Amino acid sequence: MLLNGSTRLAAPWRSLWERLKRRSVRDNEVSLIVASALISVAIGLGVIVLQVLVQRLHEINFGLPRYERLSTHGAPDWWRVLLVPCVGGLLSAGAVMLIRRWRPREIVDAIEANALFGGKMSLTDSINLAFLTVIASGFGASVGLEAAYTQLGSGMASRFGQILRVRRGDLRTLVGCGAAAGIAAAFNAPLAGAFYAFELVIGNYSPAVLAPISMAALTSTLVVRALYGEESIFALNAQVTIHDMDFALFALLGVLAAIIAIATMTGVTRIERFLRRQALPRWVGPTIGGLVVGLIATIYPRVLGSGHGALQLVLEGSLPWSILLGLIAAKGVASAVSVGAGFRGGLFSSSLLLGAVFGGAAVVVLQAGLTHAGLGAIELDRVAYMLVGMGAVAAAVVGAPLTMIFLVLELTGSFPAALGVMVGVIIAALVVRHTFGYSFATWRFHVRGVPIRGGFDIGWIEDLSVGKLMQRDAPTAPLGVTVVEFRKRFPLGGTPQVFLVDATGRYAGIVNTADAYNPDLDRNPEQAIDALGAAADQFLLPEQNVRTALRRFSGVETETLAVVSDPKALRVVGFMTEGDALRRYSHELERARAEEVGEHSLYGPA
Amino acid sequence: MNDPVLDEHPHHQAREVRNRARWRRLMRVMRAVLLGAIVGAYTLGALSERVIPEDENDLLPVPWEALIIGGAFTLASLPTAWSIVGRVLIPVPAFYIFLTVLLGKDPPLPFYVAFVVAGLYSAILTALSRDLAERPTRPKLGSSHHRRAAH
Repeated sequence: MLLNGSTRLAAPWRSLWERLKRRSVRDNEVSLIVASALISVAIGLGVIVLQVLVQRLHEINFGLPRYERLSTHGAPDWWRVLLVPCVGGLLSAGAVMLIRRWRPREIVDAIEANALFGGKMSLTDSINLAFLTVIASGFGASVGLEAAYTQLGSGMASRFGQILRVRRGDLRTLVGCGAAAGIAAAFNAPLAGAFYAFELVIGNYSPAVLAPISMAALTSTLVVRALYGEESIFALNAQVTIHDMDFALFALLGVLAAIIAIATMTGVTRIERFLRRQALPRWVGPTIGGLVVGLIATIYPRVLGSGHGALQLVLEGSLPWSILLGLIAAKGVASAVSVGAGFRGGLFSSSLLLGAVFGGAAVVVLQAGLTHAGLGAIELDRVAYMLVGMGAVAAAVVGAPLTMIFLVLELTGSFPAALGVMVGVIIAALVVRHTFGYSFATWRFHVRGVPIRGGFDIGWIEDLSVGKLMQRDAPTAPLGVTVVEFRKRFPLGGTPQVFLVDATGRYAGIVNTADAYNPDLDRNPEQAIDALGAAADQFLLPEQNVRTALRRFSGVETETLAVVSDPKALRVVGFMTEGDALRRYSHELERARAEEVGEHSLYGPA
Repeated sequence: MNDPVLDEHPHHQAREVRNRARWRRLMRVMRAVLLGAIVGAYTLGALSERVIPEDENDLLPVPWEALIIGGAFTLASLPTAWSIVGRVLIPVPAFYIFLTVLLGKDPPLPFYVAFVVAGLYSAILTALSRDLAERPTRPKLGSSHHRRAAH
């Protein structure tokens, strides 16, 4: 109440609260850590609520016994399997249509917020997305809840930061804290959560963000452990043994994992395009998607939901090789169809299961190959290969290699397994980076036409617009003005450039004032100044950013450009010099870099 | 003006255009092969889900059946005129294979449901391969069709 209702407080208290906020939070690193811990308690609770909601939905919709996971339960009733995802699709489409009517804009996620909007996110949008993901997962769509956890977590943290009016850099850090807390709580893995934030949401690691993000990840994990138990997505009792030769095979597994990841990511877009081509009503897409998931689940019920239960079954080795092979295809298609058809949710969990299944199938083939080559004495560790496959596919899809290495380390407690996973993960990430160039999140941005490749802050460039940087007192002279008149109005040493405008006020070129004082013009001082006008078709617009302006200066080879209201009216609203633009650009670059490493005096006093 | 493709000494850009077209066709073939492999793997796994012995008395070994369905799907998805041969091969075998899967799994589906679902599987595979095999309406650059159309 104190935070949300500061406007309701009496004036002296309000003033005190504002002062405290400014002094304690804006300029204090310790306060940011405390703030991240506080919000992480709420995020941990939020993750529990989402998990319980989805579990209850599974129990009701699929008739599961209490606390049994959907993808562990071998055989829900056939009519539920066919019907529930379809109904989920219909509900999901209806909810999306209602929400769009109310809030028509695209929901900004944590990565986009940090890259473009300085960490500003809408909490309402985040709750809406979490709600849509709960419907999707709760009704059996083959998507995970991680998108909901990170969206809700970062949305809550962003709102908290906006209430505290923290600086742009700190708000971005808080958004990272929210995502870290969400993932850490979901997987009972604080290190994985923290590195998820570093790799995806913040876009880099620096000492300045280490403490708040680690604190957030740890706090939410402790909250979940205290209230919900220490259950992880899987439990592994087997000891992992890795030989030297295995590392070479892990590299091969990494290459194949990258292919699976790319096929899944592009599959989503192809399905989206296919459905768009059919020009169906909006509600039909998710319903068809639900029907297809239901059809797949009649044979492979393990594709339903996020697949955490199935992951346990796969790691226990209770599924034969041929079923594992089929499950790779089934889970890949079901996940791509779910997301492509319009269910909200991510591919984090799906890629974990897909990768584990792939590793399980691959180890059988590799073992058979070794036996065939007369190396049957070498026994490959089935679990190690499953973990490597899991990490490699998930790293390639999610775009967070270190997160996957730490996730395996935290969930298995096995250092040799983490080393093996490191090889597979690095190779998979490398192959995807060089052949495809995107993770699933950045691929979605690319498809939408949003020019971002991660959580790196590029929004400040957009904020640095020509409109903000220009000088507004642009001196103008009408076309047809004589040299004498021009000299009278603009004495030498005064305004360096004058902008010509026609009778209707449209921009018509720039005149260097010094050129008007050329002695050659003295022979005919009554001639019009128009001939000295240059760059009549070159100008800047107020909404263009500083990089576009600098490119234009370099292309036109001029030092000053007019800024016009719009390309049609061409009304001169100001002007900009290359020197000003360069100065401001380098200053902002320095500021961004200093903020990134957490040293405000990195380049000395401002 | 000379047609750069029909010209004996085509403009250098024409070669680039033809190379790009060739690359696109190769990608479509690769896509068909990849999707055929996915269908084959899916079928193999599905056939292995059967637990009722009466439903496992197949004409061919299980891997062969999966290979045939996957191969037929690849053939049917190729962007060529004769991909119709593959599409002829898909519906009936796919229907029977998925019917045995749905009736042989644990627990089996009621017959009428299995019949409908197997029919849907067969129809989806056929329709999907038809969509993948769809070719551009304009003839391939440099092909005999293209030359005839140009004249």
